[in-house]
Amino acid sequence: MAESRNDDPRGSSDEQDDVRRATAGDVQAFERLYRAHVARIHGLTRRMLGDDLADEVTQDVFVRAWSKLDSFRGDAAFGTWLHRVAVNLVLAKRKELGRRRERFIGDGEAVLERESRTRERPTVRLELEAALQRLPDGAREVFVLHDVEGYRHREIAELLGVTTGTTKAQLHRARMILRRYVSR
Amino acid sequence: MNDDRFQRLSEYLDGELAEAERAALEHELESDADLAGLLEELREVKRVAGEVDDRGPETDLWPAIAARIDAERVVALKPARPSRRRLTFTVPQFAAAMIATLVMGVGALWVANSLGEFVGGEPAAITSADAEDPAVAPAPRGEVPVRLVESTEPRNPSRKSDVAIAALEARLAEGRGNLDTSTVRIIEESLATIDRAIESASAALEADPGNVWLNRHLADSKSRKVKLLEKAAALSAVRT
Repeated sequence: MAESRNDDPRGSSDEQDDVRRATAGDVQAFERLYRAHVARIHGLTRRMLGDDLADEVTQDVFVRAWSKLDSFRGDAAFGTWLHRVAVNLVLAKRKELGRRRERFIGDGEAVLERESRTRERPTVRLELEAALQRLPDGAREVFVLHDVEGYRHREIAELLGVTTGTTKAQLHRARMILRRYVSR
Repeated sequence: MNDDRFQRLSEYLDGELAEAERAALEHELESDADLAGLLEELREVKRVAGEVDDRGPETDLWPAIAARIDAERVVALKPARPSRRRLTFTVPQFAAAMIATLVMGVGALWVANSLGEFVGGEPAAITSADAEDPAVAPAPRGEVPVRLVESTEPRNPSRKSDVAIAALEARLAEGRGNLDTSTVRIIEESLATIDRAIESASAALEADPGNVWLNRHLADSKSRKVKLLEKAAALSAVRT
């Protein structure tokens, strides 16, 4: 699971306290949890869905988390649980958007190759984020979940309902496309 | 190198190759500079991806989230276990029920017309304005006329709400012990919000009693309070 970006696998004791309070209905405690995790959740939604939908879906994630707090048993860190809630919601949203993004599949590589030759590159990281928006759907999902968020192939395959062979192929495809942006 | 062999570069980076495959690939990398160059490019992509910033949203999303949560909390006050009991009647049972309802309705009307209901234990004072008031019961000669309940105040919708609120508050107080603390807190917070609206509308009406908008606002606020109390009372009863 994507715990590599959490220092404490169970979260701090303050956070655990806030989780308990929020589960009992304390909105202020939930706001503290929001403040602690919004950046990472927003980063995930932005990379997976793009800037246009990031704010809206981030809101959805926290509202969903609030309503499902009862199901959080504390086996893992709150951040890990929240991230899984976010990933599930993001994937559902992508499924909903579905066909609209298909235009990127197939010509993604060509577009990226052309742009990587012509555009200025102020920072590699920002360019990577911009390039992510143009990756084919499957490649982007797997790349973000694996290389950015730290999920394993087995977990990604489970989330997406595909085999690990597929996720490995999609990851490699994404890296091959993105290398033109990152390498100078 | 074919696609399958290229893909092994990624698997090699992620430490997912078996020992023999890894050794074979490393041997190949030593003798193929292009392949080694490609591996470094992929390694760089992975490194950069692991360092991306989580800069967060440009605007604070919390107010919108808090509003949606608040709305959910009120909706969540609906009974957790709605009654699924269905009543079924045979035709004779249904006919009997209709007759009983009719008899009780007529009886209630007769009682109301014959006796009336008194306000409190003492007859209310009658003013000259009451002379034309049909709610004032005609008094037998030599006796003091009395005001029926269906007089001026009960005909006021706001007053009716107050009566309903008082009754519901009493019901809720009885069942309060059946609710968990978080539910009680949510109910109290919601009631406090509505009470503030009622208080401010009432205060404004003292200065401008004829203001239609303020009267409607007050009535709406009381109506909201009744609905909330009904939900809360039902919830406490269900959990009993």
